[in-house]
Amino acid sequence: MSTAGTTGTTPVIQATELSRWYGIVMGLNNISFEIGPGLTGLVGPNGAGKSTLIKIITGQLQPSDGELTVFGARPWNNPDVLRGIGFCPEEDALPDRLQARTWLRGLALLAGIVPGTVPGHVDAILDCVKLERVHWDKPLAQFSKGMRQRVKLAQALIHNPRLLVLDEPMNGLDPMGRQDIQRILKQLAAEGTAVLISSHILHELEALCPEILILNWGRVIASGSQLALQRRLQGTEANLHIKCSDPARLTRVLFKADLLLGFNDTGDDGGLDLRVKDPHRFSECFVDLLTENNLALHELRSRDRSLQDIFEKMTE
Amino acid sequence: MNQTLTNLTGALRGMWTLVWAQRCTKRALVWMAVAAGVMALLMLRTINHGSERNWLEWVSWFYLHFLVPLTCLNVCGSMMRAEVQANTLSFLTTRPHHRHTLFFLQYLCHVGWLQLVFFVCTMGLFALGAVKGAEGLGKLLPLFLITQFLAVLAWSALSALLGLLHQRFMIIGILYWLVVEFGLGQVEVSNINQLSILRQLHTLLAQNELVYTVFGSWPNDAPFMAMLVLLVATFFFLAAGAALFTFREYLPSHEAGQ
Repeated sequence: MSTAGTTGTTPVIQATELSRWYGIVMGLNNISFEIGPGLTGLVGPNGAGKSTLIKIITGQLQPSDGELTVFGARPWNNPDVLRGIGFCPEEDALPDRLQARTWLRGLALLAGIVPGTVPGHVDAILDCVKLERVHWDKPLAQFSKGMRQRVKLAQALIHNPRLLVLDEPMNGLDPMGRQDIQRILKQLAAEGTAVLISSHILHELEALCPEILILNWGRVIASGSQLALQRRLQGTEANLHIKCSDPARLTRVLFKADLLLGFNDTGDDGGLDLRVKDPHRFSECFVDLLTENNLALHELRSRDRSLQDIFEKMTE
Repeated sequence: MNQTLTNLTGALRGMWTLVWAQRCTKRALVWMAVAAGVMALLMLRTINHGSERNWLEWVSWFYLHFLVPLTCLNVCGSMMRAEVQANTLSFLTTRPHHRHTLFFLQYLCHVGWLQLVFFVCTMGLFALGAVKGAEGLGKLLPLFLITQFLAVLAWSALSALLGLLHQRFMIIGILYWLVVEFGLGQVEVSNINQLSILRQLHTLLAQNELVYTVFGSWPNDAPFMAMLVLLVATFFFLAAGAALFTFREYLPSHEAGQ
């Protein structure tokens, strides 16, 4: 069983020997995994089965074999489960003749929000996704791609779901828009919402999702925290770039603590490339070491494999 | 129970908001006004003054036999299918309702819209009849409205089912109309003609003296049975449609394969 973000918590999504065929074409092939609260990235090349999986999670498709549960129950034709799910599809398809506010009001009522509170609720959610008020009563056909993405996100959030499923939510957004969406998603995750994001923009998933589920050819080929996946790929050491007030002293301290395998002075102002021996122990005692030795830290970043590297390695 | 009812009324309001906003656009209203104007003009030009027969032939053959079922087929046949083809169905099916509930809500809202439109059309037709000096229309109006109400329920339920069955629901609907309504419905030697919705409508309308005089061949026995048949047919078509929507997946990618 692959797990993503479920350490010590009840899984939000649980798949057991899940398969889905389209005629003779295999969409998902006997996969088992768990997804917990927090932000989880769903990664895979085209045809990997991401959309099929998302459609099963959101109750639009039924499994051909095996089982998938969300909040402990099957989502297909199950209002109790669907009440907790918000879905933002990849497709840029909206009812173009409707105005944004009218559409959201209709969907909010359908989602079971008390009629009297719907207008306020809709306005709040449109503010939350930062759609300018001047566009609220315009037909969706007049919206730019970025504005459409914001409205799609708004409809997914309108009933305060416990699980938010987003298929390529950053498509068509400018950098500011991406930042806005990332901020919203991080906030939701911090408030306890489980967020599953499928995206091709790997560096954004890397920055956003601590947990990753990688699909290829309808199978789960890796899942878990990015850190764990990185460790799996490169053993028990980590490569870091550090800038601090006294690089020579820092290396001495780290050697003494038996945390350093090697280093390289990068020549820039206080810059060091470090090969750290035990990343887990390093992360636990690094701050204490800095404090005890009165060292000021200016920069710290990983030089290890990015999500792109993990993805490429895993899908080779 | 109360909570369920509150949820359902809220959902009905939500669906009505969406259906109303999509149907009641300026463009759609202009098209309907133009179509109604053309029809009114044609009627004014072709109906002889004081001829109830002329007026009834228009209302019966063109309006009730052709325009009403075709409009129901177009509107209710596409109520789910258009969402599938536009790839917007997921916005509905991911809401917290059983799939059969969503189907019924869509049906109710679309039928509500059609009843409104046809009510206005009928009032216009009867007003035109009065302008043309047709007599006895006041007596016919309540019966015609009841008949039309039941006709729209049944035609719409059938259309909704056909829309779920196949993306070429218009062709299937027209074939059904030709085979069952104008084929089986005309068979006089067997009870198989009871399958025809039009035959039930004829039975109801023939309770009116003027209609029975003009269309002497229409049956006028057992009007309550005709009403019951129309309601049972509506229920049957709706149950079949709801079952189909509950168990079958509808995705745009499936459309090409149909």
